[in-house]
Amino acid sequence: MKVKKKFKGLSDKAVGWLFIGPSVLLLLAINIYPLVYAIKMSFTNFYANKIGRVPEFVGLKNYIKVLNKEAIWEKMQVTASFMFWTLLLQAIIGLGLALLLNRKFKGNELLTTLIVLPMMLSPAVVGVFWTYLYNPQVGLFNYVVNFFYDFGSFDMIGSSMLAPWSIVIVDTWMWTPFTMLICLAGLRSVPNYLYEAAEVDRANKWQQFIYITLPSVLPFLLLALLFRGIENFKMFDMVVELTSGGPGSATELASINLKREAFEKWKTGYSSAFAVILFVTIFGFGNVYVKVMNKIKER
Amino acid sequence: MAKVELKNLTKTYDKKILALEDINLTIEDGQFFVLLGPSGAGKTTTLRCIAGLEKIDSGSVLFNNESVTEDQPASRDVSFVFQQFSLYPHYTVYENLAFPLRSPMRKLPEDEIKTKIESISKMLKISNKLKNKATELSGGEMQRVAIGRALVREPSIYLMDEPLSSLDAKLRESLRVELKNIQTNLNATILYVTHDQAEATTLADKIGVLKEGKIVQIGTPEEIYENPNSIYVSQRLGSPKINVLPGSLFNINGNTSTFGIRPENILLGTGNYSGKIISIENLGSETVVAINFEGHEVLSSIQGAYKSSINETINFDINTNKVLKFNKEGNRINER
Repeated sequence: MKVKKKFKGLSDKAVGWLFIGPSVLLLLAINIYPLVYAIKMSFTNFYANKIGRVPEFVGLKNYIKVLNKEAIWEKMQVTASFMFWTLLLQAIIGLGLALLLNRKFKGNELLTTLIVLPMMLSPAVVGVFWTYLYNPQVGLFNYVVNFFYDFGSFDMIGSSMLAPWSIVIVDTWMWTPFTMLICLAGLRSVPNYLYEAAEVDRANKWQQFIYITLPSVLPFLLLALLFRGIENFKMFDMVVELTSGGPGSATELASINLKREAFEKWKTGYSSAFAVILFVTIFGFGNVYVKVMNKIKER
Repeated sequence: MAKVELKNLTKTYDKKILALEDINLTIEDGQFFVLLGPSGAGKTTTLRCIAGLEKIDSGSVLFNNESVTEDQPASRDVSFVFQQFSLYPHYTVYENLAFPLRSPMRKLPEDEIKTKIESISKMLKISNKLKNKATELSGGEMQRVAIGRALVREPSIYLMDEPLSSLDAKLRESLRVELKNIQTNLNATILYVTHDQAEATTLADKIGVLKEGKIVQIGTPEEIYENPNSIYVSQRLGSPKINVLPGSLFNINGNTSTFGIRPENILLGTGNYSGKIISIENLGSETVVAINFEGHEVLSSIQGAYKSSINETINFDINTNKVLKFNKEGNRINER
């Protein structure tokens, strides 16, 4: 047998590095380096606007300051409630829509495309145009609500009671399609013969849902919620455009507060410590969540 | 258990592809009925129509003389062993077996469910697997669980779609025997689909042979074997396969276009015909000898081993009483 002359050139490993090299470099430059730098700065009294002043090492002072500040805990609470309601609504509505779209009917594909549209818009743009929709005088949102039940005049963004809900509604409107798409992928992976077997075994529709559908989509839904949770923990652009954290600090999420401390008050060292705390929080929660998710998947 | 009848059943897929045409079939209460045919003949479709998983175009399905044609699968109360197992993947073997018993239409007390599952799992030799997840089983175990899930119930009819096809030969044989015992003990009505002729002959009280969506012959295994009404049916049963030869050979009289003769009716060492041996296959209890006779391959099977060698010329005779004669269309002529 004739064997072709061995190709002489780069080894497989070298080719591999060549492919991933650029992205590793980019990641190091714009993600890892700033992270390390921020951790370093969090132990100093650095002020980025005070040029020429040499930052001094202050130990854990910044961290103690952040954790002892009551306002920070208020922001955390605002963030937590925002996350809780958005994730809950997106899970329920997303799964519901996925179940509907998983049926065969005319116009199914067109409808899916339409539902997915909000997800493709820029969050800042969404924030801006919802300020118009929420406008108490001419806004469509108030008109539609009053059409069904006359609440009289109300201001979604202006009222400190309604403003947190205004951002929950917009985020849910924008990102439910995401959970829906992932759930739909999960539903499509369930083989039809399982439903046939269940039907022959005389299970009703509810049992089919509980025994077959739900366990099959649950891992998918949890994954979608993980993505949404991480995104919403650091939610910034949409809320800034919509309410800029107001009224007062009713919708001031942790990330918005962080930006104010860092780039309005220029307390760089202090806000670096805050950022590190947020990072550790989400990293910790994320890891625990992934562990739980894998347990459920194995079940 | 019930008597199940199909009357003039016709089924098309997508209004174009004819899957079943004018099927008439009666499965008596307590009968083991086997549908035999190659893949694509419509065996599975027949089962699905009886289960109610497919809507039929015309005709009717009767359980105990009552029409269930318009009924949903759940109200027909059949049990189905699917070819692809279709166990519920997120649950244990126990939960899979309990599932049909926990249906709101049947709701048994839990301790009764437990006793039932224990006896069934013992019978199918899966007692030690009850706590395993359905996805952690081997193919054979999955198939036994699937059979068990059908057997825990006492439905109108058991429908089985090639339930043994994915098992290894040894297990298949033992389960075949077990299945026949279960059926006799329960006096169960079973409609069983297979393309395996050994399963068909060993299990069946009656065999229905399907060809391209039509029933071509119904009879006991002996009738189908001894007295097939066409070449097609004669080729369904018998191993080694029946010899199908042109009528001009061996001076078979009448207007026979083709005739068939089973290998055990070709006798070696005597007679006026002679040919060269092409191959000798020793299967243990029998030996299959292939002979070239005037350009045609003729198979003969004889008891025990056969001492001879390839290319040797050999004399043979045919048992003329056992010759099956067919006309140009492949149908049997002068049937008894």
